[in-house]
Amino acid sequence: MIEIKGDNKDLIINAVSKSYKRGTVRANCDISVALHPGQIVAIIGHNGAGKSTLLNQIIGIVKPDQGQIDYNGISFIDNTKYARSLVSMMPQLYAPLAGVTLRQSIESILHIRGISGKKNKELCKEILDELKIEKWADRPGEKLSGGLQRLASFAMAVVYPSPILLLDEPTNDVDPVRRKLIWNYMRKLARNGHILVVVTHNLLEVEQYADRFLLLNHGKLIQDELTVGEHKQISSNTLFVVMNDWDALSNLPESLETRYIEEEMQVIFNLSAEQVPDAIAWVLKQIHERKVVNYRLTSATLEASYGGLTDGNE
Amino acid sequence: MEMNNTIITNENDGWVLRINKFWGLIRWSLVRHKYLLPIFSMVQVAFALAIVYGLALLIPDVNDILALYLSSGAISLGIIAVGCVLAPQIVSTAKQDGIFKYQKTLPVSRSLILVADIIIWCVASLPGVFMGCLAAKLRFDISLDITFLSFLVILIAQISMICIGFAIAYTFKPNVMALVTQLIMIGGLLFSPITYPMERLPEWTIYIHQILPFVPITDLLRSTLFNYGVFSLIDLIVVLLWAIFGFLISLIVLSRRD
Repeated sequence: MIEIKGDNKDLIINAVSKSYKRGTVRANCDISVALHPGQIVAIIGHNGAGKSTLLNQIIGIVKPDQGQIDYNGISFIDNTKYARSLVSMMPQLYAPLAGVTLRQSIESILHIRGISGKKNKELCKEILDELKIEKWADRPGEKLSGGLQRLASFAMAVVYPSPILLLDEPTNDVDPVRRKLIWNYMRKLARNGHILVVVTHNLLEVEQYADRFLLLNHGKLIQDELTVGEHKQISSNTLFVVMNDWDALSNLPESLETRYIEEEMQVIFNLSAEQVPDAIAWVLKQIHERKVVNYRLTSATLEASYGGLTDGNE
Repeated sequence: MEMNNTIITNENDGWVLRINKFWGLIRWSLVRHKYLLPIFSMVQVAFALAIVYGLALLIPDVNDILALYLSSGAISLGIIAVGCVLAPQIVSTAKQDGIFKYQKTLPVSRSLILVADIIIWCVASLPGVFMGCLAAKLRFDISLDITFLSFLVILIAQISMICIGFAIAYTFKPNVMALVTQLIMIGGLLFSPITYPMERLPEWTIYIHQILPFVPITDLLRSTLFNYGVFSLIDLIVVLLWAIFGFLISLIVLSRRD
């Protein structure tokens, strides 16, 4: 038996790389990162960036060509049984639910994790209540909507509180109310000392709920930033402007950075707080001259910086 | 929601916990297959009746020996059909549905996953065995020698065929799997001395059938359950080797990391 307290049990990923087809297809490359208990870490990046591969490497389904993944001083790569005993994973595709009700699926996972009897029923009811999916509990999996199947997969992954939880796109297809419930549940798990790693494409949710994000691009980790606290490194203001006439761009306001997306007729300004009034005045003037279709000023800038950090190609 | 700050994990499970987990796997396998089991039972009943009653219609004069062959063949082909045709088809579908990959993330040994599924499929092939016995009794009034050894042989035959079926499903892509299972069934029905004596086939085929598991399991069933022919230790070894081979192949594929 291993007892893990919620302190100083980092998951250390060191120089992990993986390629397929004799090295011609690179899944990920030289990824090093330490994942801490109590932290929700979002992994973002384009399709095929190596996000899911990293999760599969942690739980031991995919063997890295090189590098190490250690927890509590023990290698997950050399001891996959140990990894599986400490990690729960929600797969990218739905968990297998055909012919099985939501309740049966959750109870079965608890049985497989060694929890039976009254405790099994209690934990199952608890997660169904937490995610507000009790009324669908006895419906066969194939008759559930995509969002409910996703919630069922999430419930199956988190109902047994493993120290490390890997969640691949948990909020896809889920309604806005239950998306929030999912993130709130993850927050509770993090507060209780779990390591949470979430693959997602929803950058607004990352900014709103995650503590930290890892940005992957073509298998490489190109950014590892906090989204909260004094070390937050995302710039604070972004102005999106959709132009009516691309050739009319002139006398642009001062900004930290300006990006032009001609095919979308869009200009994105990263602004300091002091630069915002001038930028707004410029936009209003352009609107008055009918050179701007619309604009949006936001403090949520991960979405804006994302395009600049990755080339977006798959 | 109340959650403990202390997280207990089990790297080296005790026996009770292991048994609980194994039972959990069997339960999960059972609930996943519960809709299929009645359908499989009906198919097997129809299959057993088709062989005992249907094939007998093709033969104008069914003597006692041929009746024994048809009766034992019905049971044997039922076990082959479930293990080497139905099981691989369902496992292959499960593979496509993501169950295969999902199972790999669970904190249980790969061999236990296989054993749990083997148990469910053994249960699934029991109606065919029962119906084969009943049809033999009703159609030909054959008395069955129900002993511990005959039970054991039925069980070994089931496990062996299921292990081969699993290996086919885990190893091959769905289209290849479908082809292989069809070949086994056609070969089993038409070109194997399962429902008729070996003497009717060319001599060289004897060597092939001695190596393949299908005729040996039928001979074992015939010698124990129907008390006809000699119980052959070599047949038993061949069947056991195929069971081990199928299990190991399945285990290797299930344990393989990308």
